Order: sequence, then structure tokens, then C-alpha cells
Amino acid sequence: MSNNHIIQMLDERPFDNLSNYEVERAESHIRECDECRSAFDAARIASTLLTARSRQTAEVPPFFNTRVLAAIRERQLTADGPALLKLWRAAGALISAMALVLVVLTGMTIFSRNSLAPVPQLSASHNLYSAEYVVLRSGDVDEDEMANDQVLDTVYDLEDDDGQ
Amino acid sequence: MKPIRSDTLSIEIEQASDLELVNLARDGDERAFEEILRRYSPKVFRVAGRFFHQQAAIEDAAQEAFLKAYTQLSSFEGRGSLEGWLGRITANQCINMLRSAKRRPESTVSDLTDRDDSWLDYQMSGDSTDRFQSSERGRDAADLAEKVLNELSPEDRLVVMSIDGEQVPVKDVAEMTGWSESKVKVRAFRARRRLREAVEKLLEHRRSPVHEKG
Repeated sequence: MSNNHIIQMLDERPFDNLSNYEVERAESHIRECDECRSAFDAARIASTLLTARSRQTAEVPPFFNTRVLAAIRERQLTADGPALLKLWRAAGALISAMALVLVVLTGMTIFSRNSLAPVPQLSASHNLYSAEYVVLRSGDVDEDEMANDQVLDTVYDLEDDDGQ
Repeated sequence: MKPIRSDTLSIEIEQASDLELVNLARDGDERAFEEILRRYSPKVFRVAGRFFHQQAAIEDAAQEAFLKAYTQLSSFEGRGSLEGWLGRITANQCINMLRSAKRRPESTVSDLTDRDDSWLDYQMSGDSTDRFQSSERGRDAADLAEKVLNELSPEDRLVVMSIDGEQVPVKDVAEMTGWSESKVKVRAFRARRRLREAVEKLLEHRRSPVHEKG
């Protein structure tokens, strides 16, 4: 049995899976080979260490599930935060412009109400032939009314007729 | 990530299949995911325990694995087992944690204590009828194992801990890692050699005059 053969055998499968025959052959070989003895001892100790290490099992703590569920909720909250920020970045300018227009319109409405003088109200019983109405409408000429020249012509025509 | 909600279900959560639980949890049902936690926390802790020795580190890794599983529920199609899927997520999570943090190992072979020396003396005496003698000896061995395992890469550590330490079948390790079975065997061969060399280094270090002075 060569040195390489033993080392190859040690690395091929777990030490605990070596058959009794293989172990006996290895033990007879390592009496004459220091290099293989060192490898064999190391493989045996490594196997023992791994077994001891795998016996140390971690227990699930009592409130582990609660802790995980709380962590999920927390991450959802932090994940929602940036989503709102992205929405604001995308539509923030539009929303700001709309808000500004609304403020301006509101301001203009209030200002115009305060600045306009009250409109004089005509009396419901006003007379179209009253002195007030005549004064107010003095500049206007009704289509049905005669012009001053026509009135004078008519007056003079009547005087002529009387003279004759 | 869909929001969690709690509502009444027509089916009994505890009797639901894994796939039903995944579908319910995917729709935001909190009780379904809580049931997944209840069923598979021990398995996830066992996988994380192959990478980390301290309880706090194992808990952190397990929690991160479940958080990742929750966000990736839509990718679980039910072709493989939920247990295998969670084991794979946990293994990847632990490997990433070890790599990204580039954390200093909790201890190395150069940090041998008197208890380590004592345990090695006992092992080298040739009396292996009782490997651990007592639970205290077992703890010493586990601590020393951690120092040796810290000399390996996370992948080597997973393979050698699973196959040699816990007798996990190669097929299950392949499912957990996403590797082919032949790749797992090759990886195990190399990992075993590195572990053996690390122990030889440990034995040499123990015999060295510097260590004797220390």
C-alpha cells in the first residue's frame, strides 16, 4: 500500500465510513510510514471534531417567529417610504402647480369682492317718464322719437298753416 | 413585498400543505407564514449552525434567511420541497454573510488554549473508546472544531459539516447548494483534504517550541 493510496482513501469518504478492513490495512501501513501516520491521525481527529461540532445544535428561541414577523413589517414600512418619495418626485411639480393656481384663484376672488363698489339699484317703481329717467337718458335718442330738426320743422309747418 | 394581513381562513392552517401555505403567505396571510416559520425554523437553524457557532450569529442568519424567503415566495413553484428551498436560501445567506462581512474568524488554530491542548493530548494518547468522555469534553471538542473549520471556505465548511459531520446524503447537499451530485463529491474530497491539512497544522503548532513556551 503506497502513501498516496492511504491519503487518497482518507480524502475520498468520511473517516467514519471506512470499513474495518480498510482501517486495519491503514493501521498496518502507518507503522512503517510517518507521513501516512500523520495524515491518518489528522483524519481521525478531524472526524471526531466534526462529530462533536455537529452535536452542538442551536435551539430556536421562544419568540423567534414573533421577531421575524416584526422584522417583515418593519421592512415593509421602510420599503413603502421610498415608494411615496418616488411618487412625490414624479408628480410633485404638477401637484405644486395645481396648488399654486388654486391659491391664486382664491386670492383673486377675495380681492375682487372687496374692491368693487356697490352697483346703484334702480327703484322697482321707477317711471320711464320721470325727471330722473329723462336726465339719465338725456343723451340717448329713441328711434321712435323725432330729432330736434324734425320737431322744429313740424312746429314751423303748423305756424305756416295757421298764418295762411 | 405584499403587506401582511391577518384574517380568518376557510382551511385549517396547521393541516395545509406547504404549497398551500406558500400561496396564502404570498397573498399576505400572516398566519400561513407563521406556520412556515413553525415548521421549518429548526431546519433553518440547523443549516445556519453549520456556518456559525455563536447562538446570536445563527439567529441573525436564520432571520435574514426567512426575510429573504418571504420576499421571494413568488419564485417558489413547488417543484422541489419547501424544506430544500429554505435550506438553499439559508446556505446562500450564510455564505454571503461570511463573504461580505469578511469577518475575522471567531477563533483560529493559532489561538489554542490549555483546554485544546488537553483534548488533543487525550486524542493522541490512543485511547479512543470514549471520544468525548463528558459533555465538557464535547464542548471543548466543538470549540476546537470551530477553530479548524474557520480555516476553510464557507462552501467547504458546509460540505464537510453536512456530509462528514451530520451524515447528510450527497443528494440533499446537492439540493441545498444547487450543485450537481458529482460536484458535491469533488468539493467534499477537496474540503476533507483541507480539513485534514488544517488539523495537521494544528498538531504541528501544538508540538512547536514557540507554543510550548507560550
